[in-house]
Amino acid sequence: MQNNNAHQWRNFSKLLKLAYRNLFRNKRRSFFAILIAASGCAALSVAIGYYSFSIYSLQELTIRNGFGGSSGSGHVQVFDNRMIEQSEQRTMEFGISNVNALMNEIKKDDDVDYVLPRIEFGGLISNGERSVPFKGFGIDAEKEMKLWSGLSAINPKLKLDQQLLPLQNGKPGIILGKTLANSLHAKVGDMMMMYSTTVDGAINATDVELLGIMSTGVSETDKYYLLTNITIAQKLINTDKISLLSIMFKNRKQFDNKIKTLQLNLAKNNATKNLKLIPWSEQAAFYISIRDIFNIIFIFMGTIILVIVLLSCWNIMNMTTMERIREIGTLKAIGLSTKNITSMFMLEAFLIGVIGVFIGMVAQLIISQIINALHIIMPPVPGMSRPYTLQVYAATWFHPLIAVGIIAAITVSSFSSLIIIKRFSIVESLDHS
Amino acid sequence: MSSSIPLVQLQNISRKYYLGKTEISALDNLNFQINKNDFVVLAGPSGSGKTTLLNIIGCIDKPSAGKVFFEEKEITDTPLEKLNHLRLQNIGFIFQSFNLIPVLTAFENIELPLLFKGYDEKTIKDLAEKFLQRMGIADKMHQKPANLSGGQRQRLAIARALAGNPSLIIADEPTASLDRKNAIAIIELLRELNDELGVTIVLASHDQMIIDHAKTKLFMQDGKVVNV
Repeated sequence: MQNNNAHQWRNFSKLLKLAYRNLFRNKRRSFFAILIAASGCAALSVAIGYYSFSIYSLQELTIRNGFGGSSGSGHVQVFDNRMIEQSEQRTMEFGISNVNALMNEIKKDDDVDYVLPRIEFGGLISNGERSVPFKGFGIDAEKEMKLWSGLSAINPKLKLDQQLLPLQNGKPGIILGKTLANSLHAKVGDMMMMYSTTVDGAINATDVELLGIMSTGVSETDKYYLLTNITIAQKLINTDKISLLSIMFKNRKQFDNKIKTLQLNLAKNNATKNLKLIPWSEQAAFYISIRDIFNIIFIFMGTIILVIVLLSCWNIMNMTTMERIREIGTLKAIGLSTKNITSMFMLEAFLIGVIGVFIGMVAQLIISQIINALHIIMPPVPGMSRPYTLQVYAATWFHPLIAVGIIAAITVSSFSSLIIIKRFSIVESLDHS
Repeated sequence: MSSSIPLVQLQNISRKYYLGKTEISALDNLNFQINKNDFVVLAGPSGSGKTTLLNIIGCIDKPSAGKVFFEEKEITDTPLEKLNHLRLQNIGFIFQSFNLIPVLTAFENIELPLLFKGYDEKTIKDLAEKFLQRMGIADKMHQKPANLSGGQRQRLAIARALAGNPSLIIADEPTASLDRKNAIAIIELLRELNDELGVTIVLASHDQMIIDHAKTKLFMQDGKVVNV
């Protein structure tokens, strides 16, 4: 007799060998079991790949473009703390001053890629015959283009930055939302009058040329959307302040640490200690609600797939075991325990799972490539007017979990074997034909 | 000749089955013992209780009443699951339809119970080769059962039963699936092994040729031993 561990390992390897050979016993049945495992694995992987694409796209859309089309939030926004805690009595009461100095200070941080100053203001836009209210955004067009162009990484056909081209180089003028422009019967090149309230409470107006008409992707926003260069907005409301700064980091790695470092740096200076950093996710109520719905849908779908895999394989293992009842009786008679025999069936199911997962992963890779190459155009998500191109990401971080889930579901299905092995006595098993 | 040392003792053994609500008495108050080195043939017509008795002697079934002793130790109340070890260590089985594992080679069919018995690789190899040689099927070592003839399969089943050096071999109609020539060869082989290795063999058959080879003959009818 030899040492116990080595002995157990040899028994296990023999059972494994037996389980492997049993796979070839009824090739059609094993093929279908592997097909079920592979299909389940591929379906889950593709679904997770689509989920990853959707979530990442939503995040980037929120950061770079915003769901209102009013420019994205950036990775983090800088506000005067009072803007969050109180409401302004006068225009730009809690605006940020000394903008250039502040931007230079923020840019010193190695993780910061670029900083975007913005003014949010409201007023009336008139073509001389009709005046319509607008919600305006004063922006630095070059930097905003950089922010918006980031979405091409998700969808190469999405060249949103080109919508801002008319405002390039500080050109005086405005871009109007499509519906707003329609309501004014305005066309590019028309001269218009833009009215707003100054910081002193007076009404001010300026002549502006309509440089462009654009769609934000959200029909509702297109009704009141106006974009102009930040200097024009500042001049109109008679201030050198801005509403907020939007900051883009070079990447989102160690995001919380980056925000913490930046906040600490701002807190050191008296002039900037009242500024508060708000990460993009805290301002993304729409993203969070969509993400939560997606999570529920994918958990539900994943559970259904796993249950289908389990039940299908349960049935297959059931048939496999019933077919070998006599053999089970023989193994029991010659002294193998129920545990040993059940292990053999479990290993068989485990092998089906492993082979199925391997094939499923390869299938997932091929299916994903095909879907991505087809550039399938999907209808706009509710509330948006812009269609998007379907893509499936390789969510490799989730693949081990899928593999474990599928293999576990199939291995659990071998408990059907245990039930049968337990149900039949040795004599009944040997008599079974 | 068999010794007078008891290997299996049965006292007042009865075995009842239920077919629906109908009680069927397969064995009725049997008393006898099987001695070491004996070659016992349970003879009798179909339904006389031979296989039921063989199952109880082989520790794969329990009596409804009575006591069973194996090597003078009572095992009546030991659950069948716990008798695995006893069967693995002490009992070899030969079945009418061979019951070999089809996906394993001849060598591996012998190897499987020996592995679980705890033998090391070298011992297993030596034993498997020795018994395959003894059974005259050494050249079929790497063949799967499907590639063997009926006689060769039963020889392999005998090799599997004997390789673990059991004290008892249970054989239920071991020649029923074989032609006459192979049946004679197998029964003579079993008899030789009984003499050569001293292993106790209990087999069930209604074939007179086999009954003639027995050292002890038990004739059964309606669940009772009617003649010894």
